[in-house]
Amino acid sequence: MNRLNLHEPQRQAPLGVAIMFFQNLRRAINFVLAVLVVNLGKDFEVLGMGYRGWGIILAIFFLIYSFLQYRKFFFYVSGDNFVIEKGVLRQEKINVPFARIQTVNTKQNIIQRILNLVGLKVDTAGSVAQEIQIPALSKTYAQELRDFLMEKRYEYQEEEGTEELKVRGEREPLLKLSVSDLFKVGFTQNHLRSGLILFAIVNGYIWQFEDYLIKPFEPYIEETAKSLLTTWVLLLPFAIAAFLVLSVISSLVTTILRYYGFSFYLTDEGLEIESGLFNRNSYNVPFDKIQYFRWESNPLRRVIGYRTLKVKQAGNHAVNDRKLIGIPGLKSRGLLRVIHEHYPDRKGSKYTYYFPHRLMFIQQLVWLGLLPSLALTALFYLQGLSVLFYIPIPLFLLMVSYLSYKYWKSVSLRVNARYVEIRKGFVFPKRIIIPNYKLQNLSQTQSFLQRFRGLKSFHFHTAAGSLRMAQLPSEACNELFDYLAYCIESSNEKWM
Amino acid sequence: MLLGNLKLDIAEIPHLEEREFHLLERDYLYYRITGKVLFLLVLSGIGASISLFGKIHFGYWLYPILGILLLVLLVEFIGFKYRGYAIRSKDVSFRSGWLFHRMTTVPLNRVQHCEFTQGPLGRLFDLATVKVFTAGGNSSDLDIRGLKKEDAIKVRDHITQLSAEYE
Repeated sequence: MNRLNLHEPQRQAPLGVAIMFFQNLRRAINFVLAVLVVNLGKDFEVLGMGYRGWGIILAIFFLIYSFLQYRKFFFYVSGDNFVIEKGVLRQEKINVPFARIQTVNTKQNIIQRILNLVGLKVDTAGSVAQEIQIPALSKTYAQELRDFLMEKRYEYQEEEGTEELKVRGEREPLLKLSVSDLFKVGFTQNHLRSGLILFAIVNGYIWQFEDYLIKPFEPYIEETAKSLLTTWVLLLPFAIAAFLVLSVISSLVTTILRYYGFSFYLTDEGLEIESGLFNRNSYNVPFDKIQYFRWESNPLRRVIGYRTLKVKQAGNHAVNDRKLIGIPGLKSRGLLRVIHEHYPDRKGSKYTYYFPHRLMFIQQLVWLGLLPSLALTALFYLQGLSVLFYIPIPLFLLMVSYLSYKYWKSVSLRVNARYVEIRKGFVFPKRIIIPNYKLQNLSQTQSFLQRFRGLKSFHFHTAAGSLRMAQLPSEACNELFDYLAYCIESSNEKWM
Repeated sequence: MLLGNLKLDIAEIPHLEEREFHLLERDYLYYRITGKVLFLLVLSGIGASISLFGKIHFGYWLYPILGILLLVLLVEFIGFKYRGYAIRSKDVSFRSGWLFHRMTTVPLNRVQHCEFTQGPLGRLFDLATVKVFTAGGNSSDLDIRGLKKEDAIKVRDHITQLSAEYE
């Protein structure tokens, strides 16, 4: 570790200039794009210079600025702190106490990959606003620095420090997604969701450039809209087919971008994940930072036996999406190994099971089935449509009642002295396991309707978000409440 | 359904008893009603100015607002006795709500910090709120409202002191 020589301020790898340059360029492009779009097709001239002249001037300016940025960027160790100094016009000094370091992750975007450099990102407890990043380090140096920081973190955080960190040897990944695995994962994504996301993104872009993309076609659209309205029934299957194809393509593309070369390691410190095609990221999740595990599946994945494991870390809600780390395509064997490693006594004692009241089924049926059907019936009646239109309604109602029934039957909660386990979902089965001592606080609610039936809803609050178990019998809920409160209060394990 | 298969007997686990809950100050009820009435007064002011300058009959806004006022009074008066807090040696609880009942318990060994707040209307009634924060949730996890100012300070100090013992 002495090779790092962190007592003197260190600069990044020299190619860091390029990284800085591209970072600035990207910001500039975002800004310039708006100007370009507005002036589309028009001649652009300011102070006697056109696009090219300004482009060259800006490029030179950015190059100099990036070089200065690189020159002014230092990192070193001072006392118990890891320090980063940066800034050209406004000097900035970031102090990170070793004890506050949560994890150190590496990131690689496409430019960093081309230049064979690695970005290092230090996550700390608390401060989310401050981004502690070193964008350009050589691969080996980044690895050494990461190991050094993680070692310091353990040194300063563990009072006794008896646990000697094992030397990083050749590691065997627990899961490595091959290209065929990747396709399997991609094809079994929730296509509906990726389709909707795609739709939302496209929609957003279209309206942003409404003037150029839609205005010219408006007369045609209006004309066709009239004829479309009468033939919408005919066009609907085509629209659905197109939507499905696009959705599948979109899920495949996002899967490959995100999970290309995905490898997942189970180490002594915790979990380690590496993935990404263009942007290559690696995440470290220390065991003690994990608040709870969630694993889920969908109908397509169930066929090939794949599950997605999600690891929830502590953090406020804004960062939770980022902190929710997903491990797709895990077979049950690997999944059990991870869970067993993390929760060794899960299979120890017997569990007490709780099941929700049938009000859950009734409520779902009313809100998702009955009310929409009634609204549709009323609408069709008012429009004076033929009997043919009414046919799907009973079928829809039947489907919703079947699904609601199955959903209600799938929900269960089991508790023992160590863990709370929630299971729910028929189409999208989900399981959640929370160690009792990771719970932060508890609450129970009872609506007017629930009071008549003697029911309550239970809310579990953890540092990584809240979970709910609805429609439990009141006595069961009270008993669980007292018991879990007792578990939390009598435990002196550190939840973080 | 009982947790029969655990090592300890369910009867040994301390149960949060009804009588352990303290009622809030009576002033808190008037404080709540004042707040709501003020809001309705602002609404009526808008309604009145519209019917003065426009041609809307005053009945269009007056009767709905009176109706809402009655409803608010009813809900507040009945709901008041459902509000309360309990401080035990190892946790704090707060409950509220008549139509929608809610109770939250925060174990003291999970308390991150604890603060005391008082708004302008609260100053008028000499009432204050104690907020208890844990790592779960995004805002405060437990608000004990409707305490006399000196009680609130006492409660805050008590919780802070008890939770500090777990550090």
